[in-house]
Amino acid sequence: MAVKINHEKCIGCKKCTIVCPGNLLYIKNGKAESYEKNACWDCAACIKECPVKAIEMYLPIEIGGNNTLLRAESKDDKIVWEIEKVDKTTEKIAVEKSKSFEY
Amino acid sequence: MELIKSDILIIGGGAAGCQAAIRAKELEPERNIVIVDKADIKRSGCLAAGVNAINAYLTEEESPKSYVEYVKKDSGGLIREDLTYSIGFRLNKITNDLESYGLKIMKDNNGKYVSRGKRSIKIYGENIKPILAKKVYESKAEVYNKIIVTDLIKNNGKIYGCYGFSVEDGRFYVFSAKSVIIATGGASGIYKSNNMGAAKHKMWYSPFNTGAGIYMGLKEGAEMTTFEMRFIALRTKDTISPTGTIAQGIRAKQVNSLGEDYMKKYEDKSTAMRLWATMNENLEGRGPCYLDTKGIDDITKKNIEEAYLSMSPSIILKWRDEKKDISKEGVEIYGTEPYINGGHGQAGFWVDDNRKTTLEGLYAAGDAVGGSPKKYVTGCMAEGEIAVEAALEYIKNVKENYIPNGEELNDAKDKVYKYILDKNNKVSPNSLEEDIQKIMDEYAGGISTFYKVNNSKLLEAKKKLSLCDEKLKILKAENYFELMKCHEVKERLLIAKAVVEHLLYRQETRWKCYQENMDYPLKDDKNWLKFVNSVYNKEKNIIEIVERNYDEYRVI
Repeated sequence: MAVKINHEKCIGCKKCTIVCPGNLLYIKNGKAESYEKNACWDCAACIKECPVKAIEMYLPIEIGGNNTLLRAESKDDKIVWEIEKVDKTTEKIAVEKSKSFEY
Repeated sequence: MELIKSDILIIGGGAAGCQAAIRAKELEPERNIVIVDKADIKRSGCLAAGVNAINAYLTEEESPKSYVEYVKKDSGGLIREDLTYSIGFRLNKITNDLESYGLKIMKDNNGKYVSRGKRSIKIYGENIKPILAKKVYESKAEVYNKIIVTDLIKNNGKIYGCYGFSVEDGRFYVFSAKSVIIATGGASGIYKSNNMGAAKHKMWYSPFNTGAGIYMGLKEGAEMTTFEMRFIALRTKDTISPTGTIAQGIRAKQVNSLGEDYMKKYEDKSTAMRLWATMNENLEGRGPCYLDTKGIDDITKKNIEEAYLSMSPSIILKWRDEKKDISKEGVEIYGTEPYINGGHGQAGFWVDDNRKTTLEGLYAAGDAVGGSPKKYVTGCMAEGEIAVEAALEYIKNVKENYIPNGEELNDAKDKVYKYILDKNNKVSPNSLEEDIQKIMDEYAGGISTFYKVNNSKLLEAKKKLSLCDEKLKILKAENYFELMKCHEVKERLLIAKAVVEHLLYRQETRWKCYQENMDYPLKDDKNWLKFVNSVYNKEKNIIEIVERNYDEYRVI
């Protein structure tokens, strides 16, 4: 699965299950689960919706992944992306929605 | 059963579908307009993660005529000039609309959009879908999310709506409309993709765009065009992220393992040639190939990372996992698998310049429509407008909705649920999907064959695909998610068969890379400057080819 849902943080609010473009997520016993872990497209829509940062994205080992995790918090004016590397250090990159891209 | 009546039913809430709804409500607010989407329009379809640029905008030096000239030249010289021309007139207005909806577009000191190329402008595109969705809801069009549509409703030769089911609770839906617009996008998953296992859906186009509208149209006998021109994207290796950001943004050159700017050796720098050249360099032992980002400064690197986070975040994970510093090494590029797509490519419904298909009452717009490649987001939105304007005109003469009942309704319902109802069914949708994808990859020009086809292999593909029909009948679903997957496999199988027929028919190589037949390796304008179209014959279960004249649609 290219997204991991942390059931300790998940509050079963359904925002991720509603937004997934592949209809992959559903609620079971009050927590979000995936019907098919391999079917994720890594669009990060669920990550941006989750109000409690319970969802993390990682690169599958099948394409060279090595456990770096990506979380995101979407605010009105920006998205704050948080990268947690294997050594547990984190890097934050805030991308302002008002700024159009240089490239 | 849920019966939803409307004046116009728009199947698909992507760029084309959303703009169609917005435009219809703007022109005739009293009309009842319904969008139905297989997911939630907030993030559904190919724009789920966002988009990196507007690639169809006419900057000052460009005009609708120059746009047609460019598209024609870059597309093997065979396009529906009239369709592309009609799009050209609306591109800039559509872009202004997007900005008014809330899309952030970079402007210079004179208030002009900042261009990234002759027809491309810089934007913050991560939230393009939420922006479009919000405008749709404001317009008061009705939206039905999470409904899988399965078949069109046809009566007396006219299209009056469609059937479907809710992927959430399985309820049966009947959408009855005076006119229908198909805007379901293109089809992915016809061919085996680059990656496997947990990465199998790491692909260029949305793995959830499985050609529903194209399938439904084909099934009812709508004419399709140019399925032999499969769009193949040149992307970053493995994460399949966009290359435009780096190629256009910082003008990075394509280099091989020897550090050569290899495009210099090839006949032109068209989109298809950039891909063909990269595959050829690999084939001849000079790979890997890269976009040369060596020596970029920290600010450029930061800007590139921010741009990627807003459209393809997994590449950032890759650079961290592989401890990759793109200022010290280039970004590897490679081709994806082939897709059926009318937004970048030109495969899809055959339409007139009002976007009317060959079925009465049925219009189409966006990636589902063929003949007009390189239209991208704004071009798809332009088609949404054109289609809905025509549909609004058409329904003035449609007195009432048609509501199916009795046997017709029961038959339709059986078709929707058969995979879940028949407990003897044994085949998993994933396994049949992989079967189809392997056949197409190996015999119909997938990645493993460097996209090249020949007639003997295509005939094998045809034979093997026909063996899939029996397996399709016994697909099993244990829940509504799996039921959706069964329908997706059904869609892909028919489209795959059509692709093979088209590839068999065209006896030349017109679009090097996208359509390269090794039995006829040269372009043959004398005999083949014409459209190869197809119609599905339901009774015989075969795809029949129809040729169409090029000259009839010329504008330049």
